[in-house]
Amino acid sequence: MDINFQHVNFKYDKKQKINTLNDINLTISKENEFITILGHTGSGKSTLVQLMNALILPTSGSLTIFNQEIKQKRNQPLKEIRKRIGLVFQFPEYQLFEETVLKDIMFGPVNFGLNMEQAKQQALDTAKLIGISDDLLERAPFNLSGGQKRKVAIAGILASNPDILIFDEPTVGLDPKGKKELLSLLDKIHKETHKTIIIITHDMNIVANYSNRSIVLKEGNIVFDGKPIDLFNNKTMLQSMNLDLPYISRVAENLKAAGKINYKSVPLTLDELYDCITGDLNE
Amino acid sequence: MKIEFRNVTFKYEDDCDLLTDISFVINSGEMTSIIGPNGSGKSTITKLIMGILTPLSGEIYINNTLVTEDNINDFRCQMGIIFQNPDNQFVGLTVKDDIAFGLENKQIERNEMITLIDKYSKLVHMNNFLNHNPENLSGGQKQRVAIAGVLAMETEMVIFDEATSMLDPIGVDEINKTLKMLKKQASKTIISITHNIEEILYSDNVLVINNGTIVAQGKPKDILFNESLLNEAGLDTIETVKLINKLSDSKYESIVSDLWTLTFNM
Repeated sequence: MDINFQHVNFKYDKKQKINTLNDINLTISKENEFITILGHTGSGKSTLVQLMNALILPTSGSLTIFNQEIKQKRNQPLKEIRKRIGLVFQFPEYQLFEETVLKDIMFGPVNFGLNMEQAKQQALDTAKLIGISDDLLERAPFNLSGGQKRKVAIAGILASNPDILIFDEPTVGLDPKGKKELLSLLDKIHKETHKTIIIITHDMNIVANYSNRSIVLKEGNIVFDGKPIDLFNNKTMLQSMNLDLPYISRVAENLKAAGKINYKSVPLTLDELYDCITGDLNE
Repeated sequence: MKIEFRNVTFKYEDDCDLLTDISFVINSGEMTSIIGPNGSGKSTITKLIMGILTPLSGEIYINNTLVTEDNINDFRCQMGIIFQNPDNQFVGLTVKDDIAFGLENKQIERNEMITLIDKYSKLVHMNNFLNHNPENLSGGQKQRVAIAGVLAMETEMVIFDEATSMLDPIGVDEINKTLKMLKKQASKTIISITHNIEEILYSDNVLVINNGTIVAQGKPKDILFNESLLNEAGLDTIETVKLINKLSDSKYESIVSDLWTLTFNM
């Protein structure tokens, strides 16, 4: 497996009484996974993804990333891991700093060893994939709209061609159009390249509509790791994790309670509920 | 407080129009949502209402009186505003101090101040946090404290300027509940500026704004139903309404009626 956590514990400070992450066991493949990480503020979600690209190091336990054992020491070669696992922070637009959009996108590839010509080509290809139009490339990133800035920041990570892409709450603060565009883009990258995508989110609609695996954290522990549908079909478990059903599933529950529809497994998306309604009424 | 815009146009110097020929009426005691994508001109409208900006052309009337530089202050003291970022609006070391801040500025007498703090902290369900440091509260709790502070001033109008856009879904839910309750209990004029479609559900009226012009105004149900108009404005309707639009055959009448009820009551 490409990322492998075995009994990993993590504390920010040795004096901390309770681990920020506790006994984490997790394997992630670089292909075909679309993972959502859920949990309340302070449950350890951001800490977990920072371990995944060795931005922070485990306090104890074994963490292997692309067959390299990550040790609790400085001076170990981590650049290759950082290149292969792209991490996009919350509000990534705050981290733009170059004079032009093109230079900002090129920064990663240059830093990871491509020459200027190759880096430029890579940046141009990525800009095209993401839908950043040519006339923006020579503009200063600071004059763009919020949604455009975020696209540029994401292009900067994609241009290094990582094997796994991790996003910390990528849609917060975007308007509905920006949100939809970004999610369709991630979905497209996932479908075309089969790269694994990992998203931290509070939005159950993203969980239901895009991911094929969900990991739920509670107080530093993994309390669920499996298919979203198995999470949403277990009402008691959901409540114990303080999670809600996706909006469309709550609508379905109400319709079922009113005797209007019936189903074995709760519909998670608009299309599933539509099929459920039209199927039932056609019978 | 009644607000009326008549053919208002606004731009900053040497720039293109931010708002072009805007006309609308906000009735006293009603809740109006102004919805539009990022950069559509929503916040410029707020600044014009508050008299922070003045129109390049057109007129603004408040309570049927033309707003001028001379009378804007009389109106402005009847307006309260809740901003986007809860962290930028705290001044007190405790929740109580914070709610008291505006009242102190108004030189309200101490006993009356205590009554007001008590009343409005209860209204937003933050009365058990009066001695807490606001910094340690969640985003939704911080915004509720900010709301209590504004309500305690007992202004005729309250403006929510993207008050939920930086909150997580739990925080958004808390503020939506507070807004709903405010609308029921207080006979205030409320303006909610948002790009979150769910916030328009319990409004009396909705203005949809895009590229500096009003592209639609009406009741929430009519606005929600117009999926293509919302899409053109870079917005999205609620999922139940998308479903309703797909279930156009008359045999689905009963379930469509259920879906409308759920849209407004869930």
